[in-house]
Amino acid sequence: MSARSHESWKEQLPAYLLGALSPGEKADLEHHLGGCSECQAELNWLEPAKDRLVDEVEQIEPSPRLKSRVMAAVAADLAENPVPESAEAGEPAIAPPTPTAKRERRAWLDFGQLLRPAVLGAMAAMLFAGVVVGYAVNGGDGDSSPGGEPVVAQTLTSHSNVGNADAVMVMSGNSGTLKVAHLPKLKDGEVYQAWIQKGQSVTPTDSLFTPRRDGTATTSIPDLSDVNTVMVSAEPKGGSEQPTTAPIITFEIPS
Amino acid sequence: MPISPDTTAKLDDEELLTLVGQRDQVAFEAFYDRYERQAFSLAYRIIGERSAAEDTVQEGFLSIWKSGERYDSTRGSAGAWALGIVRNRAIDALRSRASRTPTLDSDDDGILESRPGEDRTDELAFRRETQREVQEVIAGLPDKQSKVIKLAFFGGFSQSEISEMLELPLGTVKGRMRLGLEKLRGGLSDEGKVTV
Repeated sequence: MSARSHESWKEQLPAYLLGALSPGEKADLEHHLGGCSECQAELNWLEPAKDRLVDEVEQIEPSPRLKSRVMAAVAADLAENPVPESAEAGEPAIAPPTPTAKRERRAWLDFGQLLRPAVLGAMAAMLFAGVVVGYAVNGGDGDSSPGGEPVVAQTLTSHSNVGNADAVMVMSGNSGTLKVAHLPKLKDGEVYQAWIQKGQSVTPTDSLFTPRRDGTATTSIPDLSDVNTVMVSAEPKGGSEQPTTAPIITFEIPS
Repeated sequence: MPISPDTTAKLDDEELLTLVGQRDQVAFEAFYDRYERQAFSLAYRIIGERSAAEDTVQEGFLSIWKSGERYDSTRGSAGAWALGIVRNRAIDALRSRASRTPTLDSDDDGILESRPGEDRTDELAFRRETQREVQEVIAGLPDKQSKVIKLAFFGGFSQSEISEMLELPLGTVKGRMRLGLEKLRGGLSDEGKVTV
């Protein structure tokens, strides 16, 4: 044990909190903290001051691509180092990658068959411009909830250049929760509506929603049984029986 | 053990990190969502360049993904731990980009200038209000104290480096850090609300 006085350790605490100790000083202090409840208590008391320094930082919106990059890296790590089978409940840890461009385009074309002619031209132009630029399956974890209820959780992401919309579909059992960010603002009298496609048939859902002020929105898709694709489009208030605008978000559900 | 996504919203940070330690992707995503903006803003404040700040956030959170089990709840909150990881990586990136220990410009606060981002949304209004109040508390500190605190936390300088740069005895730097943090702490309620 060092012969340093207690006070000399204590005076290192502010620099420790601020990350201003050398590696050696830091290691020594952490060793001392392990056996000194008084210094630990002092550190705990001071810590909110350091946390407030983070609050002092002006909040800046990161690129919508950042989360996609992080989650893709996590998915890649999981694919490389899968969760041991003993930790699973019979479902694959990672859903297999989908051939993105081809499948994405097919979903758009299927959806387009139902659009009013006036919408088709605009939609074709958007497709030509590569509106949907990315799609990825982040993973699917076979799972049991803490309460023992069996669920299957799977997270899908989709990205669109339309207003930088960025979306995540979290699937649990036969239902899904759609979380969208950076949604384009709706015109007056419009809502977003989710659609499901089974085979060649596209049907409306009751999932009508408007984005929050920050462009985010969350909605549920109650029944995803046999659904190939989930799409979101802007529709007149109250929803439509058939889509009237091209989808801004498209998810293809892995079979 | 992995959990259902619906459950993540009900879990606190520490519980999420426990699941992250078990390589639960859904729990990681929930934790990431809670801190992405704060982490990016902090990294951007330190580095001052968007793509490098994003790289830092990505590296930091991947580190959390791979080492979630190393979080020790006795050493502070999970959020502070995560932001600390990102902050340390941002400081490393800052030093690496400079290929040397950062040095002060003629204006001591030159490297500490906030670099406002181009992407702002209305939702930040409330946070800005809170932020403004906190800034008032920090601004209320004597310059000598706020300077050493900002040089350390946002500039990545050690107390010894600050002592050299400002040509102050090390004990003076330590004292200013302590007084500044104590005042900052004293201006906040236990819930972290500003009480000025």
